[in-house]
Amino acid sequence: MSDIHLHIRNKEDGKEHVIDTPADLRVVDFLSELIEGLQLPAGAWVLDDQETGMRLDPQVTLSSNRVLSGHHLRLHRNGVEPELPPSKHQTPPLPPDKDGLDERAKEKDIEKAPVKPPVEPDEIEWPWVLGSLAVVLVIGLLVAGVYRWMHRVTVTLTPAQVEVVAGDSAKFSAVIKGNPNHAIRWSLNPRLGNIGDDGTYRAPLTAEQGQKVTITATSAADPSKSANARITLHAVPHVSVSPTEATAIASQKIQFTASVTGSSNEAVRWSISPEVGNISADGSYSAPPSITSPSPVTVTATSQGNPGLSASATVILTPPAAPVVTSVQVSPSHAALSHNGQMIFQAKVNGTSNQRVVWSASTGTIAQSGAYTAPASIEPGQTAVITAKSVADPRKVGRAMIDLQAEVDIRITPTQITLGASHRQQQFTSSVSGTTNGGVRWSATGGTISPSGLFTAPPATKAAQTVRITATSEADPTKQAFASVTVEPLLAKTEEHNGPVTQDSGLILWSGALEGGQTLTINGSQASTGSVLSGKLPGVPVVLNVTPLELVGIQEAPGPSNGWARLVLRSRRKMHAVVSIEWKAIR
Amino acid sequence: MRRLTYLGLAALLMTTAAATAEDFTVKLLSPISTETNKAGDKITAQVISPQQFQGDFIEGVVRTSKAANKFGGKSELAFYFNVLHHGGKAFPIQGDIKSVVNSQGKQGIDDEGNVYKKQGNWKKALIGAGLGAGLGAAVGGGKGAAEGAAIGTAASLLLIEVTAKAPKIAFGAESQFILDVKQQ
Repeated sequence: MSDIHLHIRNKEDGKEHVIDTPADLRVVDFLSELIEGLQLPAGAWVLDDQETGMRLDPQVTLSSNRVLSGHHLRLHRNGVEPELPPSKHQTPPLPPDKDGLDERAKEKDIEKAPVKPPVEPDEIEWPWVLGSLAVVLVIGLLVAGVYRWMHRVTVTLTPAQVEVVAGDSAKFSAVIKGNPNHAIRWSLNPRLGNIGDDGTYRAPLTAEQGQKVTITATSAADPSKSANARITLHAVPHVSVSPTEATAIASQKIQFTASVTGSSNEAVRWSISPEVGNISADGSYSAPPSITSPSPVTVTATSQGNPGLSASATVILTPPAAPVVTSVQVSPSHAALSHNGQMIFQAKVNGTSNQRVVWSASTGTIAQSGAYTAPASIEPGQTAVITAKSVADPRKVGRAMIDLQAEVDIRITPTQITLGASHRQQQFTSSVSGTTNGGVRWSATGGTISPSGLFTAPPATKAAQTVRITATSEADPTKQAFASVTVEPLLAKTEEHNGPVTQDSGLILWSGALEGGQTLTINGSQASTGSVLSGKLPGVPVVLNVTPLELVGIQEAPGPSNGWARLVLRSRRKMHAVVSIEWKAIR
Repeated sequence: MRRLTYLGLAALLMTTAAATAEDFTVKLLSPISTETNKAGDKITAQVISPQQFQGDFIEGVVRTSKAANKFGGKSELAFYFNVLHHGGKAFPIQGDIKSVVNSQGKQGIDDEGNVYKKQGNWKKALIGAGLGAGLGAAVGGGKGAAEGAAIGTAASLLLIEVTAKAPKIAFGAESQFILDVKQQ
């Protein structure tokens, strides 16, 4: 049982005695020690606990009387307090008792009995006090350091390293110690995939094999505290084949390539199904030497590292294609030919190398070389169709159209007559072939001629006159026919012409064929080619005109140098015509 | 003798030109055109006037005959007269055209309606005059030099040239040309 210290207060002088005593000390023993210590006279001294107002039972201990340390006790005998010896503690005077008595007066009757000797001030050992304080300080600092060390903030992240396949996820756990705020901030570097607040990492759907990602958990309360974990990404194991589709003809080789991702073993094993053709270890497929019908072959590449992974391609085996004739073109596609005209046609067969064709013509003749000859007789508006039929595909033909142009030919009847004094008119008729338009325009160099071809001779003169009658085709004005009319003089000359001049004018009709640029020489009535139908050069100075001048030109006119007897004409182009040379003598 | 005859004709020609101030009018006896004639073709004309040569004939040659192509361009016809038949003899001449009358009697145009435009080459004329004067002086002294110069000038202007921006140029028979004819 520990000691308790009690206060015994003197009412008179306010002096107070503090007494330490065991709590299990009986009150009667405690009184005995007080009487002895305070040198009080013997008597019936009693103690009152001023804290509880109870008188202490002397037969039991202080603790049994519920006296606690610090309680103030009043010592008195029959209500009279003894005069206590001076105490080292000055206390204010005690208030008077209820009965009105001064407590200090009461203490005069009590003998002074010091319990303990007072402690003197010079007895305090200051070095000891200061040393103690230093020790206490050091110990405090140590205690504070240990406290801080024991309460430091730490972040722990687990697992520290993990491998994740693209598209998969991984769970991380972060623990914060030393701080009641356990909030975590997650981050990724590089930002591949994402991580939730609960620490679940989700890898991207695609990733490069071996790609590294660092995941960091940082304390929200102390951003300087963090922990890292490493993620190694793996691509999804995959096998691909290129090309995925192909066609092959007999014996054709096709090179396939395979790519393995997400596996360290990139080797593949090649196979085909069905076993048509063969495939080498490096993926080169060879089609069979003959193919009769289209059929597929599956080419498969299987990962050797992971036989569960494979990829396939399809090869369509194609039999040899039959030549397909798309069209036949004939050139020229359109032409125009006159009778007996010739032209060479050519055919191009598209879609095949077989260019052979069979030629045919609806009219005229065509050789298998493509040389066409128009018919000798052509009706106006007639056409011919040239057909080239492909030998490779007789269903394919090409055609060309030919406009057959009838040669306009005009004839006049009669071609030469003599009109006398009694016979002044002559009806001329014309016939036009090669055109549906048989109309002609009549003209005469003398006299008159009606649109229907009725010619009336000019008045007779002393000399004979020659009149040229011309019929010009309305369908082709370049086509003309001529007739010669001799109008007898009033007095017919019977004598033989003896001199260069027997007529004032004349008409020479020549007929024949000339090539382009060919010359025609007329000497008198003789022609170098063709024939003079009528008339002759008079051998005297003449003025002359040639018709048709668009077909022939005068290379050399009659003149003094050739005795007025020679006329040289030159054809402008190939022609078959009648040329009219009208002359008039110069007197 | 031939030389004297030439000199006589030259004197006659110069006298005619100087005394009467008449030109030679000649008539074509056959048609010519760029469409049918070629260089080298021979042509004939008859002298209508002056009276001294009326009825005589002159002959010439086509020098250039070019028809415009179908896409356009110019037609060109050039010819000249180089022989005069007079008194049963042929005399070389040169003539400078002054005007044309077509076969329909219309002056200044050809039968196609192309306007005739005289084209002279005076540089050639001066050179020709110099050469002619030298030749005349060598033959006949000072007088010969004068005649030679005149002949030389004429000799340099002998071409009858017609150009036109037309499909063709044509002169029908009996077209007339007015010429200044000199003996060569």
